[in-house]
Amino acid sequence: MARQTANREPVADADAAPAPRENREWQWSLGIGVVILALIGTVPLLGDQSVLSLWTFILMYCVLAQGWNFIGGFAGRAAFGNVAFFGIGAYTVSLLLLQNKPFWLGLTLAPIIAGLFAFLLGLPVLRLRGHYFAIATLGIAEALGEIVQAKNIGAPAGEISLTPPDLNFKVSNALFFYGFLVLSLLTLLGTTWLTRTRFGYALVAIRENEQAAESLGIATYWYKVSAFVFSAVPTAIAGGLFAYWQLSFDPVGEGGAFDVTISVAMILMTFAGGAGTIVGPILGAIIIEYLDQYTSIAFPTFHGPLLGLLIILVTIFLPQGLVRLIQELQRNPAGVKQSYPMRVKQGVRRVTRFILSNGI
Amino acid sequence: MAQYVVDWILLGCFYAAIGLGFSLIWGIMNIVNLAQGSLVILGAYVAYWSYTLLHLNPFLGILVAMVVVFCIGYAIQYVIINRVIRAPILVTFMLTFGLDLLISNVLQAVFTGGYRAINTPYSGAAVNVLGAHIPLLNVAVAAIAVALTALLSLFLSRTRLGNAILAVGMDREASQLMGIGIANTYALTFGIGAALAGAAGGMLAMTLQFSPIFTGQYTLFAFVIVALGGLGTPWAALAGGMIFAFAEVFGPLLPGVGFGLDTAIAFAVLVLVLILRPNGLLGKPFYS
Amino acid sequence: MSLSVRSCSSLASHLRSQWRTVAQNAVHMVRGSRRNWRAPLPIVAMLVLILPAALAACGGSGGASSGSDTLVFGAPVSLTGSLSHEGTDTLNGYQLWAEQVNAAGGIKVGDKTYKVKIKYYDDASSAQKSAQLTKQLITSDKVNFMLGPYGSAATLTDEVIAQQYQIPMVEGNGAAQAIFKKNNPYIFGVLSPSPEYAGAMIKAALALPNPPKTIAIINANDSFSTEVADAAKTLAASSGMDVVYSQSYPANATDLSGVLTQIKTSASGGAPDMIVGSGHEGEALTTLKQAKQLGIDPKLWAFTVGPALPDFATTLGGDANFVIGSSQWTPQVKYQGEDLFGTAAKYEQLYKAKYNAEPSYQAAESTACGLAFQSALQKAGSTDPQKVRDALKGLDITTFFGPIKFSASGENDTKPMVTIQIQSGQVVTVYPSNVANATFQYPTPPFGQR
Repeated sequence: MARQTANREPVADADAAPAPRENREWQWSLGIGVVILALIGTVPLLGDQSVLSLWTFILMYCVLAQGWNFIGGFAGRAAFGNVAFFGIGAYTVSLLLLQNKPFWLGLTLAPIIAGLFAFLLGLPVLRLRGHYFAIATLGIAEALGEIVQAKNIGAPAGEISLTPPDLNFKVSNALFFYGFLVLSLLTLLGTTWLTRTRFGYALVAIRENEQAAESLGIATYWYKVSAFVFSAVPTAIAGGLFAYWQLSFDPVGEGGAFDVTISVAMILMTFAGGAGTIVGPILGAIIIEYLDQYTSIAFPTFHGPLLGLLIILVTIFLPQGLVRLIQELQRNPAGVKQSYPMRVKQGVRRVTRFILSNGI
Repeated sequence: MAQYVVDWILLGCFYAAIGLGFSLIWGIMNIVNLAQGSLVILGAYVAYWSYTLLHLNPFLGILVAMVVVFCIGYAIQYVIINRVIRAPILVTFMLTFGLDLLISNVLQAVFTGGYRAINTPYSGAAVNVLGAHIPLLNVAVAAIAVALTALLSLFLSRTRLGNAILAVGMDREASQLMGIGIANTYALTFGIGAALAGAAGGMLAMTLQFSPIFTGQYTLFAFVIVALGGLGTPWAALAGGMIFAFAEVFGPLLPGVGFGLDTAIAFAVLVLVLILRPNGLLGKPFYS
Repeated sequence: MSLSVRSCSSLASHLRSQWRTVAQNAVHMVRGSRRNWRAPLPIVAMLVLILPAALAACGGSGGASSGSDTLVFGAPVSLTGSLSHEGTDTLNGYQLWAEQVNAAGGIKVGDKTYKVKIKYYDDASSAQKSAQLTKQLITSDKVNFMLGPYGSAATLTDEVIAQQYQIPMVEGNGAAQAIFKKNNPYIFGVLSPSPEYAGAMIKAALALPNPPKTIAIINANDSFSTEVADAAKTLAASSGMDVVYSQSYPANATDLSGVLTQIKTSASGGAPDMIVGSGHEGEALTTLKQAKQLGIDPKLWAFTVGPALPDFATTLGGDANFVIGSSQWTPQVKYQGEDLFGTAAKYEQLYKAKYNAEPSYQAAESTACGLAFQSALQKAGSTDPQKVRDALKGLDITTFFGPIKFSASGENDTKPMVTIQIQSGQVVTVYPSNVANATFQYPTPPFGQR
């Protein structure tokens, strides 16, 4: 879709930027991201455990969406199996806890194992293109969940039940909240750093045109494998935190550690916020997860269909995500000085054109 | 052993029916239709009601299900999916996920999550061959599945409409220049894919039972089946169904495997197949 | 395509140095120009500022209903997803109880009378979500007491939260023993524990004049079904039955032909005398449908979950006849309750009047949860959660559902289960003989002759 945007107004962009200048966009994005996370960080002060729990889920999905953003948003691969890393993290931590090993050990091993897994898995599957990559990753995640269930890993049918940490539950809930917050912040910094490096540019180039990138001497294959590992690491840590926070969970089925809908949630959130942007995944996770929880509380009987309708509307009318929508409304491609309302008006026209151009 | 072979062939044909429509939609329009399972269950309901309310023969019920689900599929594509058809694959993926959520939840709200099935007087009929028990109803269903595969193949290769669909699948812009109405052709394609899902639903209602709870499971089956077989020809779906059923029937017989690893075995096979033959077993590189 | 044009032209001269420029241009094309980035800041900041505030506000207003003389009972139930069918019955059971209590004037606690209200949410069949909603119910909605969710998985996650907030939870839809092994003094289950599920049916079969001698046991591999199957194997073996085949299969399997093909030849004379399936309704239906297709005809079919549900017989038609099942409760049980329903027949009548359907045992056991609370509240003479918990611990009553008396771990282990059979499409009770309203029909004729 990005290339189509470029198609319509390439001249302005190309002419306005004959040589890349130092751009400050990343500073704004990082700043906004940090402010958002800092604001979320005040949630425990409200003292309400259900609100805290809701925002812990939101932060967890922030991390998952940010993790997916590396392989899906920047490298543009249709990865459907990232929940596999989440599950690996959850089960690594759980299995070690069940053997009375410390939590930090599990939390350290989880990203290492998941990263290694992503590397070894990425070697064959990242040679696949388009859908076939999607299918293979989805299949690996499904198969892992099935193996855990069929081989009774950790417990009969893999149904884990852990003893809670030896702490007041309010303290431990707050600790898990801040655990996810720090993880999300670190991932945000990682993402920002990524956009400033050769590595990040290479990924974007791969997304936009893999052959062109290859012909320019970018080792596309290894960049993709690295991006896959990058997306596995925070996802696995989130899985580990989730395991000890939730205490009991199943491998498959609704809400399970290998549940495909978690993969779908990562993708949906990243898309709603803006794939390949710095703050997009965070915004997407906040909005989608909040709406999901809100509708299930406000409309217990209808929230399924409502959520379905919401997804349909978002994908039709917000195909580029929120961040890109705001950027588009702010853009001034002609470089001419014009009034703010005028610019927004043109932005609306461009966005409408873009939405229409997706259809036939 | 003969019994396992019979189980395998009958199951494989039924799976092929589930994958057929999915394969067409994916191959022609590049849409991974996550609402396929919902359409299967929708078809099962149509067949069920035409049997219980109108007392139609359940085999005619399959036809009714195909017609009704075709119309619904046509409308879905024309009104909704056509709006994002040019967007990247993930966008249509999310859209159909939303559709699945919508359809399956509405079905649950209207019909509850309870199970239903069509019980025909001849459902127990069977013959014994070489010690294997062959249920005739399942044989009939398998025959319909193979017939649908053959008909779809003939339709695509021998009719103007089918050729138009194939042409649009190969090159959208070029076929538009040739005067093919894209919006309509796409809606037809999705309608036919949906009708095939509806047929599979009718078969499901006759041979097993159904409930709106399991829509996701049938979507996943379709996904695996089509991925195993490959895109681009209806026969690939049949091959995919056969491979998946093979993993399911014979996999547990291997020492140390046991039940419960069907999907794992199927995907292990799949990943191997994809690495060796990146377009599936029988597939052609339609899209990439 | 401007990207590829640019790449081609730059390729010739600066092959390695230029790629960064190209990539950066790609970034710019996607993102737009680099200026004008300040404007979204206020929008985004406002959005983030508003969200927690809005949430706190909505959470706060949600619980306002617990006025001075209404007791609010929280219930996370599965209204959508894979457990929606049973979850809806659970909610029906809770609501019927609340309606009847209010119609009778309310619950008299000490010298005050309280009306009751059920505050429920849909957990979409996810245990994870159920836990989140339990927190919502306790902390934001400030419910007085908790009623259980549907299923063992959700009960396991929710009981932990009830314990953290020291709110008693009475549940009627989680039978796994793990629920009661957590030393949680706030969880009470009114249903008979899991070993009873298969135990009731095997005892019924053994009481037959010419009991089955060989038995095959298949189970879904979730922890509840596995517990039931293990108890069944032990009981069958110790009662002198020959366990010729046992096998677990993945929960929610849609094809069981492999397992059934193995059963077909497991006993020396072909199929075993009795086949027990421990799993879920869908698997029980698949087992029978595929057994018919494979021509497997044991003398007795037994399923822990399924036959008691109203749609079991309608889905299978004639093939459902002769199948036995275990049930926590049937409208035929003959308890003389001291509760506001009194008898099972009265309950059936009221349930039918409200929902226009036969009550399933899931509905009855959910209603029984409410009755346990009602008794405990009256006994405690206080709405204080601790006092109510203590009253629940010492509860010993008989209801339309059966006796309710909790063990130290919170299980209702004195209540027996009943064995039901489907006869001419109707569910009848065949065992134990003191509650039976029909004779046990045995052996089962082959498929097609039922």
